[in-house]
Amino acid sequence: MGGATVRIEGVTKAFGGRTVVDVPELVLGAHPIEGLIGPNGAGKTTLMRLVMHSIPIDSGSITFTTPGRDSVVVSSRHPHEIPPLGMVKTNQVIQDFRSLTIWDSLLLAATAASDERPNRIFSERSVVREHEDEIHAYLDKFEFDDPYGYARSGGEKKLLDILRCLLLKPQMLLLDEPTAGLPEDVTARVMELIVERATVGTSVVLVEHDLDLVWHLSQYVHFMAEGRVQLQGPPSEVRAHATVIEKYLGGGHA
Amino acid sequence: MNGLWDFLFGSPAFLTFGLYTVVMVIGLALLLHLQMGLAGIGNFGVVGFWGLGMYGFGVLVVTYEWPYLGALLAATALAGVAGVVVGWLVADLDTDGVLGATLSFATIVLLLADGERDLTGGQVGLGTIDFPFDVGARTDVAWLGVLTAIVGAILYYVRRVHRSPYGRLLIAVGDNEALATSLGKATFRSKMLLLALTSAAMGLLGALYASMSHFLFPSHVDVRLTIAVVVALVLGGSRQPLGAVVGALLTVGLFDVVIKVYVRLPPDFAEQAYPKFQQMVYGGLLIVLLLFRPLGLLGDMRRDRLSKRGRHG
Repeated sequence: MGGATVRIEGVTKAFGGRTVVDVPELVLGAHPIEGLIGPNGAGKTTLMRLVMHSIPIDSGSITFTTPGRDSVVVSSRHPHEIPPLGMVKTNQVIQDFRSLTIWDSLLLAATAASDERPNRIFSERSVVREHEDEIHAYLDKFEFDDPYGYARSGGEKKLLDILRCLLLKPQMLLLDEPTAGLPEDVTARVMELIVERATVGTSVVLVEHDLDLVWHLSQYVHFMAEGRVQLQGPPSEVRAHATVIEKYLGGGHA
Repeated sequence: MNGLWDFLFGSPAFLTFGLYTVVMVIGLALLLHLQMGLAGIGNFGVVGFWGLGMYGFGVLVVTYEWPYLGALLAATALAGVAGVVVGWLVADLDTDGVLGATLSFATIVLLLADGERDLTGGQVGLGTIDFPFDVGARTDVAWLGVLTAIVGAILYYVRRVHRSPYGRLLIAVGDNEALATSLGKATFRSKMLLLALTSAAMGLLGALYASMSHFLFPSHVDVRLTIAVVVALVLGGSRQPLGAVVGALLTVGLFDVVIKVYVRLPPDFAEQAYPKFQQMVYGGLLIVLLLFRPLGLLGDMRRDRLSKRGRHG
């Protein structure tokens, strides 16, 4: 094992005086696939956004470590510097570039910053040549309505969001409710890809409400409620715990 | 035939000046297309950057007696720096805030041109500024040629940008900056670089205009030029590379070439009422366009119809 990890230390975040996240100590990524579960409003999405520094933390620090490289305090880096370090996050709410086609959107994700300078107006051909195989591999696997047109349905946009992140070849992949809005058969194929990535060394954190998926895929589960991680352990343990059942699953689920 | 020739080219000075204005507005609208149409930066201070180039150049050449080329480069750089400073100041504002702030910037340039009399001469004017070369009585036509070559290069560049990774990045920034950031794109730096380059080019067009105008007055840098550029771009289509060309031909081409040169307006009307009439039409046109056809005559960007290169699997 020994993939990329994120260490969260003393991190708090409050919105308008209400503490949403209060995590004294948490390590994500010690297992290939970890689940992050909890009731609505538990602070899961906020925590993921804090990790990506798309919102600033109030206190504490978040450190990202990839094997063989120095640790980086990502909580003091600009958000755009984090994906190149090897960590990306998919979006819970559908996010899209409305003027870019599906092909464009994938190519944008794959393109290196050095090819996007204002003087590189002749680099399209070489950029396409460099990335077309990997992009076509995804386009072949998932049947978009029109890969050279715009993403039409919410499902296509959601899938596109995940594929863009995969094209960045992350070592740490945070998936914020990837199945919400995806058709069932697409979910299965996405998860296949995710597991494939995890087996070759990418650390995956899965924020999900579909608990069967979490129990099935992850080796370790963090249970969050009221801004704190209340419980951690292998799926079987977390699943059997009284707190989880009370706070989250309700009587019927046990 | 002689009659037609005389009709078309009978007032060469008016014609050259009118065409110069058209080509210049095309150039400015193309640059605004990169800022607004692609990257989503609503710059309502075009004349400010252009005017900074024009007055910067004029002051250096006339007041400080700099050599022509040196002043041209310095004025261009000055406008570019202004682009970065203004861009940095408005970075966190929403669209309305950016429009207001850039409009204010242009007003500051106007007030400086009017107020800093030691440098600019104020209402008295600043001159005379000559062409850098002399090919006889029709040097102005040659100067129009120089401008046309430069604007042609800008048009070529803009069309290439649409087919390059750089254009894709700018469009992504304009569409959803937060999403582009989450993919590791340095969106702030991209916008600053874009503003530096496009504002500098606007400044260059201003500096070149100084030679055409010979005398510079604060009225050159009032809001009318901004309006003309915005109307041209919005009419043609702010999201299409050719929108600037189509729009400028239909607006400035009609008012400053066709009507001014070929319709014999009564002199009183031409001097006093005509410019105001032109502004009224531009204003009305802008309102009608934004209400009924905000994407202009050419419509939205259609990247799904772009060339098929690289699309074979």
